[in-house]
Amino acid sequence: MARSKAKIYWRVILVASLLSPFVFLSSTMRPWISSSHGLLLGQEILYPFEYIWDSGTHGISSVWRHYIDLTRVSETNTRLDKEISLLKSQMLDYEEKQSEIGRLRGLFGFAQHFQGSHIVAEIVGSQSYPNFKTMRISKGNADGVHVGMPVVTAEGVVGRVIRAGLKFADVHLLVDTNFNVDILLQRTRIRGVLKGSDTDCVLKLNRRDEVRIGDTLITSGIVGGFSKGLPVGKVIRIAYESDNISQTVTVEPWVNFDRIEEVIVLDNHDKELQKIMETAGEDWLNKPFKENEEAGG
Amino acid sequence: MDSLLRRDTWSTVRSLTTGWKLRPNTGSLPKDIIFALIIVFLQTTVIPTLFGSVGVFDLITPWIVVTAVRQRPLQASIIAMVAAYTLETKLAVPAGIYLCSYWILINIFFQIRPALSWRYTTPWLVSYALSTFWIIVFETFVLMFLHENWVFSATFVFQQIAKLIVATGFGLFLSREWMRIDAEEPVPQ
Repeated sequence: MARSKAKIYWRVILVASLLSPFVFLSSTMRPWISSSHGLLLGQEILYPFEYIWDSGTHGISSVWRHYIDLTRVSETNTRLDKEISLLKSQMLDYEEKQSEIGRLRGLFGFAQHFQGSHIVAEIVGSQSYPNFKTMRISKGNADGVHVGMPVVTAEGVVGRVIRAGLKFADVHLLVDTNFNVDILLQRTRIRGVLKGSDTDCVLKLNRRDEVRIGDTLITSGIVGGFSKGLPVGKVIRIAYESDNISQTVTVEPWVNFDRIEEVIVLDNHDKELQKIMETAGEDWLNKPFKENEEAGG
Repeated sequence: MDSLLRRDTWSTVRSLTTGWKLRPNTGSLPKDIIFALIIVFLQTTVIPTLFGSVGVFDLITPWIVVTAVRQRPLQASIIAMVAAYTLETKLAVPAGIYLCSYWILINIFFQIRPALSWRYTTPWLVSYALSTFWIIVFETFVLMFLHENWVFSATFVFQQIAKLIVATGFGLFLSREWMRIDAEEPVPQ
């Protein structure tokens, strides 16, 4: 009797486990997003070891690069000297242009790109899985890093913080398939939502939208906490879809994710917009336009 | 009896290293959880640093297979869930992907393990290969769900084949002590 009961119990468990993929696939398919230490307990335990490992490997590679592998140093020095003198002359021109832009911005009432505070963090552990891309940084809740904050480098957008521990945070990278960011084509000012796709990003546009190979994409500043005008990437491929309505634009990010060592976390987190995005979905911004189109058409 | 035990430093160190030798199924749940966390750490931090993009090796799946074969259901479920959850909170994978796939995996093992003789290499080999294949299939299916582009690039296929081979090899290494004809059956028959 007890044996048959146990058999039924195990069959129920097995059936329940076999049904679990349906529950999983009908969910939002988003990564764990949290800054709760309880939820990130395993990560909090592992982080010190990860930090030690990362510092150790960095130390060894740094000793190798700076004290042993010096065969190209002289060649690089000569090249850099030339570059410095060229850049010095460009700087003079740049300073003049910067003051001109400042004046024009003031004139048109535009906000500066970014005036808020920021946190500089080191990379601790790079992309651990090729298909689901994150990066761990050395600053967490204790340093003022919170979930949703945009992460950038001097080259451009890196991603957004999805999990924050006490002394670390995980950054969801721009090239991950689950990452979306609102962008503008710098030349034509066309807006779209850029989606990560393995090593590049993809952008779906209307066939009539003008786009060229080499066009630069910048953040639109509308949603997601990124301030307007941050460089994202450049167009490297355009494919016209067979439906004759849309075109798929492949974008190469400006940031080389394999070579980043430090990042800047922008304290520009728009909590209200983030909440709207999470509850209403990515398409919420287009809804009024669609309704207008439907009413008009 | 206690006074007969050797208490010199070398014996103490040796007993500590034997007790804390990295292996599944130590007989202590806290130790098993710590070892599972170490395997997660090796898989997500150490191996990618050493092998770069080639080193997408799966060490957790064989570890969980051994756990599912050797441990009692409750303990095995706890260890598998801790490992899966820690793995998920490290990566940007959709929440639940590993919890779901490992939950199915261990439940299937609980059903089939009394019917097989684990003294032979074949059940272990097939279990490791099929389990890793199941995880790869599940991951790929979710990727296809998320991706708008074709996911089956040459690199992707190579990575998955390498993952399958390494996971099976690692699993066979883990279970070598039970693959002898005179070994004790890990599961009561």
